[in-house]
Amino acid sequence: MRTKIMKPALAATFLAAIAACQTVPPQNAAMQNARSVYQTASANPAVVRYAPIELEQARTSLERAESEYRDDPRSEAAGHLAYLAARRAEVATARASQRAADERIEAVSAERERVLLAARTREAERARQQAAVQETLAREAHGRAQDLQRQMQELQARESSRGMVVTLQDVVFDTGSATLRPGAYRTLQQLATVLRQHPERRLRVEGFTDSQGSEEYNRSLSERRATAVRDALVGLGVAPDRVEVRGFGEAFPVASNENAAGRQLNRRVEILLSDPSGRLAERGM
Amino acid sequence: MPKSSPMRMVAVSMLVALPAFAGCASVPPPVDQLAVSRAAIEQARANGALAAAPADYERALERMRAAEAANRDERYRDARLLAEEAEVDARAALAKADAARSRQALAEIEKSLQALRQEAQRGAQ
Repeated sequence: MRTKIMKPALAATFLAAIAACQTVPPQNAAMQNARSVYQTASANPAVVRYAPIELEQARTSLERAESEYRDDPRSEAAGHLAYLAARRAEVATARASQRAADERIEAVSAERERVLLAARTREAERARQQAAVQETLAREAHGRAQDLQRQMQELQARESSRGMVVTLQDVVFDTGSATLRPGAYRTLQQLATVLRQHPERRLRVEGFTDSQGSEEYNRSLSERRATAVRDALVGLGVAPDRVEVRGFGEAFPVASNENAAGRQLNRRVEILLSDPSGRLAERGM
Repeated sequence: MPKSSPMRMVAVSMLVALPAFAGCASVPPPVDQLAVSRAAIEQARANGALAAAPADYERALERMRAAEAANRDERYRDARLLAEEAEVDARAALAKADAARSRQALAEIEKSLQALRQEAQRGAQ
């Protein structure tokens, strides 16, 4: 029987197998592990895409290991090469993971820039619109201030340290009384128009007399004359709280009381225009 | 089959089996390979492998020590093979550390983008 007579080579191998079992086992586990790790890596599209060179290195190592293993399943060279192959496959997988993340970082970074740019553009647009609104408001205010200036000039107002002042002379009143003559109404109508068109402004009406007569009488007359002007303005549509009244009597003469001309000049009503916030300056005492 | 890791088994079996090849006079000292392996380990260390891939890094160190011991004993073939394995261990540790760092950076920038988007939505209202 042929099977009972072992071929010498086979016998030697068999004996070698028994002898070697205690020292160098077949490299099955190492080979299987290497094949498995490589298989996983090469089946991963990310590894193929991002780490083709590292994957190729692993494949080459595995081929060399397989070759050694075919020649001698117990050769430690096979086990060694299998180990290298498995590790190189791990490197390929890790490198692919790194490069995929790096590529994604680029994309996210670019998106982040876009979002930032869009936000900044919106911000800039908002600021521009606000500036435009501010500019329009400023232009309007300036235009209105110029209108006011023109209107006051038509009223022959003069600039004083306290603001613009319109003066009504003695002739607008009946002699020694607080009754307004019709001639005053043109000026008062213009003043009423100013106040209507510039609702932020207010007036103070100040009455003055010459020095003839008692101080008490002059103070009373001057106050009654100022009040008459105020009432006339109210009659022309001005709200009462926008017009103050003062009677200064003989105080603050603008001309000499020694002659008739001077005394006539002192008999006057001064109408002071407020600042844009409605404030009226007091006379220095 | 005992349940130890296959890789450990290979390493141990190699250390046991290799004395048969000791004293092979034609094998030169693996000076270059040892240098390459040391450099690979240093590169891994410098890139945070100790924290990101401690098992791989430790294995590289172990193998390097064994390689240097074999080298001192003039077991040059053992030394070269062990150094080769230390080198791939170090490269694996380095690759894993780099991958971990990139993934971390990606997570952070994605979070930043999301925060920006929410901010932009609020601003647009």
